Amino acid sequence: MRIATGATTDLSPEAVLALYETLLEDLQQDPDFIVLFCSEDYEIKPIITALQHRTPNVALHGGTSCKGVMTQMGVAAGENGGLAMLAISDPDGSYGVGVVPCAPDAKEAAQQAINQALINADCPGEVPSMVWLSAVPGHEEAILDGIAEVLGPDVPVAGGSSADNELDGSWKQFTIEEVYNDAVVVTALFPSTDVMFAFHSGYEPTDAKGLITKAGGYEATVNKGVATATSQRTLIEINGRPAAEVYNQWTDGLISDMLGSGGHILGLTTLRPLGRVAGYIGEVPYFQLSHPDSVTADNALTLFSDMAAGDEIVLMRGTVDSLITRAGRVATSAMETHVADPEDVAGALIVYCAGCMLTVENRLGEVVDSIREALPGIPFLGTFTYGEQGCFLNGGNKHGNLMISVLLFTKE
Amino acid sequence: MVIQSEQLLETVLDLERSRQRERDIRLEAEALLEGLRGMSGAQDKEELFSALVQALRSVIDFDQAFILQAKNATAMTVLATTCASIQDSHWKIGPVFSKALSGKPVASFDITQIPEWKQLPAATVSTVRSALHIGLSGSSKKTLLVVTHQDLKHFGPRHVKKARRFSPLASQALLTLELRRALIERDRFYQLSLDAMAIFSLDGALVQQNQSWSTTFDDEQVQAPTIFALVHPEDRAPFQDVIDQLHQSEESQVIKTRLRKNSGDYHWFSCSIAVYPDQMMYYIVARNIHDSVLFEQKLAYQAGHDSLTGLKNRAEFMEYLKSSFSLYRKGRGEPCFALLFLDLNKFKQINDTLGHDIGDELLKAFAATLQDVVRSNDVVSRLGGDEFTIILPKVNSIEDAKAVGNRIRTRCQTPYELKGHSIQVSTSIGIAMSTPDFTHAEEIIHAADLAMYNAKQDKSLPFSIHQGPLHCNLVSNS
Repeated sequence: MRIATGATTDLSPEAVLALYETLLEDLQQDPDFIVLFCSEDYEIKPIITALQHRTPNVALHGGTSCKGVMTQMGVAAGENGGLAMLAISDPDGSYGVGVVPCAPDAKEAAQQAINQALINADCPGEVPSMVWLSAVPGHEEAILDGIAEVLGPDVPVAGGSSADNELDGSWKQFTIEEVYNDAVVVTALFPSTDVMFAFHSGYEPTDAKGLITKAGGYEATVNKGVATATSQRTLIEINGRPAAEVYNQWTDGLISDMLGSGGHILGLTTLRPLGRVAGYIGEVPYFQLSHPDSVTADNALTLFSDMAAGDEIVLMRGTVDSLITRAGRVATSAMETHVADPEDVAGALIVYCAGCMLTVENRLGEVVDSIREALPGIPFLGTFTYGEQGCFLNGGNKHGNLMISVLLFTKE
Repeated sequence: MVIQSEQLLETVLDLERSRQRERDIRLEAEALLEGLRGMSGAQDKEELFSALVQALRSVIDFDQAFILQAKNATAMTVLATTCASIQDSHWKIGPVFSKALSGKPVASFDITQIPEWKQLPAATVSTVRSALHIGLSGSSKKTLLVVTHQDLKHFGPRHVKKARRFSPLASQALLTLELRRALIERDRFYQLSLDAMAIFSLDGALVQQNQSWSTTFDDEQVQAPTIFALVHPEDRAPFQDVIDQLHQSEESQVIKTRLRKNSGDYHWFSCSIAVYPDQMMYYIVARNIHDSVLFEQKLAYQAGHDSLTGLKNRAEFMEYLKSSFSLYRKGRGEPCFALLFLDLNKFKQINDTLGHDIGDELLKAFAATLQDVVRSNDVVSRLGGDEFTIILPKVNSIEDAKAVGNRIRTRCQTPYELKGHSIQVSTSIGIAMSTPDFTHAEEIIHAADLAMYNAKQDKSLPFSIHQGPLHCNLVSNS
């Protein structure tokens, strides 16, 4: 397997084609699978039309990323955002992409998409090594359920929710043929070599914890035109009290200004998310994070992931420094799952939470440095997402916020 | 450097992950190792299959298992199964089987979507919903181990990874069984062979032998003789040389040597020998060629000897003469040798009057006389008709040759009694001594012949002595 990556900040389809030609030179043969991420600034249709004309049979998995992308060359997030491409040449492997709009039923859409992906990979009925996922924000849990419904719970799923620049629903999902803004796109990966993955948070729990006593659905103001009736992303009460008040108390008045009036708190809460125990490794718990993004008028908290009454939540704590260094740590952790050396790794896909990215924006170069340190000389593509999906070591695919997912492909 | 608490947590989690991973790997390795022990001991395919299933079950949960083996390039049949309904099923090799056979285990979450399974009657696989296909590489035929489960989505990537680790062990067990079978077959040939076969340790001790070896060499009087004890004393040095040479390479060599049979006789054997120092032993295949060696020796003798008198013939004489001359030349005149050329006088008359039988008897008797009067290392030959030669190696002077000539003449004074006939013969003798003047062996014969001719012309001479290529002195009988 050979992998090449590259990025551009030029918006023109010609520039993207030129980037493709550069990758082709690195690969020395046609790619079998392309992952393409770009900021919302790019007009997708002419780009995929040009690519389809150039390489009609390739499996292409695409989505938008918040403000830009990153590769081993650095951050591609200029005035007009950025675009990056990861191309895999693996003639002995199989890759199939499926895409289906989430409405009206995201779970059903995910089932259809994964079946489509398996057929496109010429592997119907076979269990893939991994599923790579990009989807419109808001339905991630249902989508993971849908994939598990088809493949079973043990097939690792990794990916991230499509993101835009201003949280105004300008995100996109696409394949080599079609562009959507409300779809789930999945790739069934049957690489000829091993894949390694890790899914971490990098936050630590505080002593502040409570029980969710009321949660419910909401019509998200940020998800334009997307039905969210099935989502449970409103945290109404903690320990019988309005959730925002409890959170404000736990954080020493972090969101005092929003209480009673409501408002966006995404930027404020990045370093103080809520966590739920996702499992234990030995006796040490690990957490699935939820990022509070707004306070409602009745002092409920809205989140980027589902909550349910009866869940125990913990206030988590992180630092800017930890957000910078943990990308590299997750990459190292992924490598250690197979005890591989960096020399054995052909390339990597990295999902980095957009919320974290916005928090460390001025030091994003240091995030790239930490990844480069963990994966020296290895091509990678990093996308900034509004929700991350991954598989914890003890099994089970989860959707979380403020997470990092790393997927590594070995050379042999 | 300050380690932040969240980093500490991550580090603890990483350590816990590593610990858990190591424990899982250790448990799986122990289970597989235990399984391998069971598989390696299998004596037949049923035992192997049973051990395979047991070993795999220790790491993967499944309901049924079966092994398919290639019938031809496109089809497979069931070799062994835990499921009766699968027993007589026939399978075409499709994309999933091909992939699994190429070394990549394939898990199916729903077998109804797999081309190979779609071909089967529903009743055959009514209890199967998902399957794991594992290619095994130990056999000369394509072999596939398939395990099934009654639930959809039972098998996942972790099963594929385990199958990938299991496959080489199972393949090794399959290979071991096939090798064991091959060894049994080879052992049958080994025992059936008429050639004597044995394996010896590097110090020559017998390790293993086939029936033919036992029959040929086993001696109740000698307990487990070394190979060197069997080799004829005269052949031991060259035999040891061959063994020493073979230590340097793994090629085999064939040596003709005499081995002592259990009858006590030494027979000629053609021994094919290969030495494997890393195995600390060598292999010998011994074929009895005694009769053919004796026949060859007889033919060789006949080629070099006169059939009537048993003396060396002209060809053998010439070889010997050339060899002596060459030795003489190399030795710069030392040692000297003499050549006596003899002719029976009036032999034709005897032949014509008394008949060829008597003539032949006379030639035999005369040959015996010549043999009788010379030293054991002197070489008497019959060139043809009534012409004889004697090469006297290592003579000090012409006097030694003359002494031999005189002894012959003296013995000829006694008549031969042959079939009622008393026959008195005389002989003309020419003598030539090796001298530096001769440049070719043929010149010496010519000189001796010339001298003999002179002696025959002058009956007063007992023999004529030729002392060089350019002159000829007649020596009187003084």
